[in-house]
Formats: sequence, structure tokens, C-alpha cells
Amino acid sequence: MTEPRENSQADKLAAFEAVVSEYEGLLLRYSARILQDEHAAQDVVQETFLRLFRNWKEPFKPCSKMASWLYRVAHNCAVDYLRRQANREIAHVRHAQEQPEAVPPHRGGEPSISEAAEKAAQALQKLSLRERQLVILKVYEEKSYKEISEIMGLSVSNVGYLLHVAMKKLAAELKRSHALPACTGAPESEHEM
Amino acid sequence: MKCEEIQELLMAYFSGELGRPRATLVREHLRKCPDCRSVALEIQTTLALLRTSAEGERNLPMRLTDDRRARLRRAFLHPVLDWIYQRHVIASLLIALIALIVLICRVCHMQTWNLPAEGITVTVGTGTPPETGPAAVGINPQSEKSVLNNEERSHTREP
Repeated sequence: MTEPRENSQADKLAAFEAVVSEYEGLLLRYSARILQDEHAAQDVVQETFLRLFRNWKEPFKPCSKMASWLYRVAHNCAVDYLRRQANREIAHVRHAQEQPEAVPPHRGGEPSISEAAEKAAQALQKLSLRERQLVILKVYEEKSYKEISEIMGLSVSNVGYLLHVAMKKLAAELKRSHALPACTGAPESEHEM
Repeated sequence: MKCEEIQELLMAYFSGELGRPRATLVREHLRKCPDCRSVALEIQTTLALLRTSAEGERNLPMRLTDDRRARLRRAFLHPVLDWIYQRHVIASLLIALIALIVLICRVCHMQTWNLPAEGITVTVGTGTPPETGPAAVGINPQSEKSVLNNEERSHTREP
């Protein structure tokens, strides 16, 4: 009598393991990049999966629709987390704003590759949350415009435009911090243009 | 196409998401326009730096911690238990409230049945009325009689 029930429990457990194993790494990296906090990313991903269990009505197996849904929910959870943090630590934020930001002195000359890459990562954190999300999805997660539009609920053309704006801001910030060499406009070896 | 429009397509161009005709258009424009070529180079360099920075993120978490995974497994397999576990304060209050309501109902129920029973002593077939007497508690002697009659009738039916 209990065999079908045990089978169904085993099936459910297998479905659970398949979904969590498939997406946990992706969502953890994505959330950690947005939040810049690994523990917070763990909380966000846990909450994302909990919402999936409560709200997912279709067959419980990995698919592109589920992936888009998970990214969207993870982003919403991350935004909620940041809002809660902002409310909780408003005093700390004010204090931090009062303190002058410690900027390492510019040593002159071209920065090394890793130094420039570090500046790029820092510049990314200066973008708005939506712009950061766009760049992370495109550059790090290597999502297509269509996938990004599904995750963010934007049109494909809007994704293109916003991404262009975000990249221009990043480039400008990198120029300001001398991480980007001044372009003279005639690179012959650029890409496979 | 204007330079602005071309520049908006650069990200899609670099990620290979433009169709062949538009990609050709962008390529041709970049050959002719030094300004757009400069912007394209900036974007390319920025992309390369971002990717390099990602390579340095080797310590990013890849798996949920064991306790979080256990919590998720419980939530997935036993959602009701998980709800109770997570909201144990609310669940305890609810259970206490239900127990209180049941207790109050039971007490009220017992009182409802106990009140008239205190004044009534039903005696059947003894012939001697109780001290309080049927009239005193409002029992109709006729009804007692009819009870007796019924009993007598049932006795007479037995073989």
C-alpha cells in the first residue's frame, strides 16, 4: 500500500534535486554579483526556491521558462533585501556618506590588467540596480537579449537601448578612473569588425 | 543609419545577436566612421575588463549551504510542516486559541445540561413522589403517568 506513496516521495525528491542542482550555482553567482554579499546571496537564493515551490504550477523540471522565472524572482528578492538593508542601516549609510571615500592615489601610467579589471568591477557597482542587472545578465550570465527581456519584463529593443546606455556609463567611469586608455579612434585590429 | 543608431547596436553586434544584414551595415559604418570606431573600441575594452574581473571571482559560492538545502528539501516535501516550523509562534498561538475555544464550548455545554438536572429527580414506578414533588419542579403528573402507561404496555407485549 505504501509503495506508490514512497515512489511519489522519491520522484518529488529527485525533481527537487534536479531543479536545485541546476540553478543554485547560477542564482548564487548572480545574486552575489548584485548584492556583493555571499551570505545575503544565500538567503536570496533560498527565498527564491521557496517561492518557486509555492508558486510554480507547471511540471517541476528545469526549463528555460523556469530559468527566466527564477532570475526574475531572485532579482526581486535581491531588491527587497537591499531595501530592507537600506531601511535598517540608514544611519550607517549616512555615516559612510559623511566619510570621504578612500581613493587610492593614481600612480600615473597605464594600470595593470587586473587593476583595470578591478576598477571595472567597482564601476559596475556605481550603476543603478537595473543597469547593473542588465550588464550582469549580458556580460557575466551571457544571456541573449530575448532572455533578458523575459527576465526583466522589458521589450527586446528596450533592453538593447538600456544596455547601450549602461555600457557608455561604464566606459565613461573607466575613463575617469584611467582604467580605459584614451581612444584615438582608429583601431585597425578591433574585433572582427 | 545615424551614428547614434549604430552605437546602440554595438552591444548586440559584439554578442553576435544582430542579423546578417544589420551586422554588415554596422561593420561598413565602423570602417568609415572614426567616432563610432572609437566608441566601439571603448565598449569592447570595457567588456574585456568586465570579463577579466569575472575570472577573478573564483570564490563566488557555487552551492547552497547544507542547512539551507535541508530547509528547502523540507519545504518542498512537507510544505505544511514547514509552514508550522517557520511560524511556530503563530502556530502555537493558533493551537492555544483552538484549545481555549474547545474548552469554553465544553464548559458551556456542561453547564447547559447540568442546570436543570439539579432540580429534577425522575422517579419511575416507586409510587412515592420525591420531596420536591413533580408540581414543584413543573413536571406534569400526566406525563409521568403516560410514561408509566407506556412502560406497562411494553411489559405486556413481552411473551
